[in-house]
Amino acid sequence: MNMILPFRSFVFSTLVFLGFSQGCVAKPEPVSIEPIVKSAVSELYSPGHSKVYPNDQFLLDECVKRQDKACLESYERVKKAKNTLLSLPQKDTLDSILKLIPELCLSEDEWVANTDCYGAIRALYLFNTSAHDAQMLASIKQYPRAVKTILFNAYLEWQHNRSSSEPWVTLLSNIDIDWQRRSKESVIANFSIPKPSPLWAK
Amino acid sequence: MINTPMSGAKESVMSNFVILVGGPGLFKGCDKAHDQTWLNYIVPLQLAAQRDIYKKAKGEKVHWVVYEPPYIARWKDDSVIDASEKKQDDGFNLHSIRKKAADKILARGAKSYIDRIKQVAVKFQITYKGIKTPDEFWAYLKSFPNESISRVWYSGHASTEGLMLALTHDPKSCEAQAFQKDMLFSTSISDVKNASVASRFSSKTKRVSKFYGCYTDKFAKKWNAVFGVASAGAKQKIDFGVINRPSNIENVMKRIEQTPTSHGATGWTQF
Repeated sequence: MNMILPFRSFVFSTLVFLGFSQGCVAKPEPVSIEPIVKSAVSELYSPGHSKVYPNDQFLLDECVKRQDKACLESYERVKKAKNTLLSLPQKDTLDSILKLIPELCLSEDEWVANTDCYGAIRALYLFNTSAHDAQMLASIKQYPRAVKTILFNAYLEWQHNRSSSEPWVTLLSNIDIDWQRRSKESVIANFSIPKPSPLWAK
Repeated sequence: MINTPMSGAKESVMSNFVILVGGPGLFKGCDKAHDQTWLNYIVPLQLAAQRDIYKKAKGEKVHWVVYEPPYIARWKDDSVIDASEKKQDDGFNLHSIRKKAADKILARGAKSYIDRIKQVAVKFQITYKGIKTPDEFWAYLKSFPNESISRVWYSGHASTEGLMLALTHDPKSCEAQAFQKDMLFSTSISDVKNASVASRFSSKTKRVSKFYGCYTDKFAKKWNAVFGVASAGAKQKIDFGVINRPSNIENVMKRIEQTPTSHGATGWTQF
């Protein structure tokens, strides 16, 4: 009896395998990029907010000179995340980031809301064509007020890397959000002031 | 005696010396480089008061603007060792050392770390101001009359992007980081929202605004450019722990400015 059960299982498994391999080959499911994007944006929080991430070339050189393990690991984590985002289909990746922003920023998990949310916002920097801007504007206009408030009050570089400031200035001129930390004038100005690429985006 | 800036003005205070005090993170065994003690950013300022290192001008009033959330969190973490913590390695997690630090506070008649800081402030006739958000610091500066601030100092964590008023740790990598909500970014110095702060500084002041934190030189440079007052900060890391080590530099604040760390010279620079 004890021998029969494993034997039956073996036969069943073999039949299932043969069935699939000969006539019932399933089409591969389209792989969702969302988990990959979610994981990558969570790594983008460190620049500017970390005690170990080297924020500029001078600090990176120092890090390399000292072979500072924590610093180099932090740098590599961010670099890998950025490269991952750039290696995926751009339109779908941006779409995924735009969907993630409200989810992460309104999360009840304190860590997610305070870091991953900002990592996702930071990732917008990487998408700077006029088509990307149009894609962003269409989504952002639909965001709840609380998400727009977080997005535009955040101290991050994405505002400085837009293809054109005009649609953003138009949006911000009439937007109803809480200017908690920054003035509307300063944020509007950011969209017209390009800045050199930060180390993490190079 | 806990005053507001305006009550200070009524007392004919000629100038105000404002010190922003950042807080420690929770102690984490996986990060022995930061905040083994809750006292790091307070003791140097206390010693400076005790030893007249502030070199106050006649009529100059000192204000400690303390970012309270990290001190509240640290007190909660240090003062009670719960059942799960008792099962952990004490040496790695320093439970007994942190509990001892908390018990010492109670023995001194204070109810918490914040209460103890208030006690010290009263002892040295320093005005205590507790804040809950970084923006309250700007609001406090704006609450002073024009031409009444002589200088501003900072004591706490920082990055090249700004002052980190509290510290937290990534649950996966243990990387020490600050939440955006706990940061005072250098870009906020030039925000038109804070433009009126420039007029609060005395146009005659020769006093240097000093930012004691790692990588604060960019912050100091911007402070100087926007507010037109002499400012100083570190290009590299600084170590608050040097105040407890033997040194030829008697002045503890100068010691922090000048003592090299494991990363080399601090690169203390005045603008």
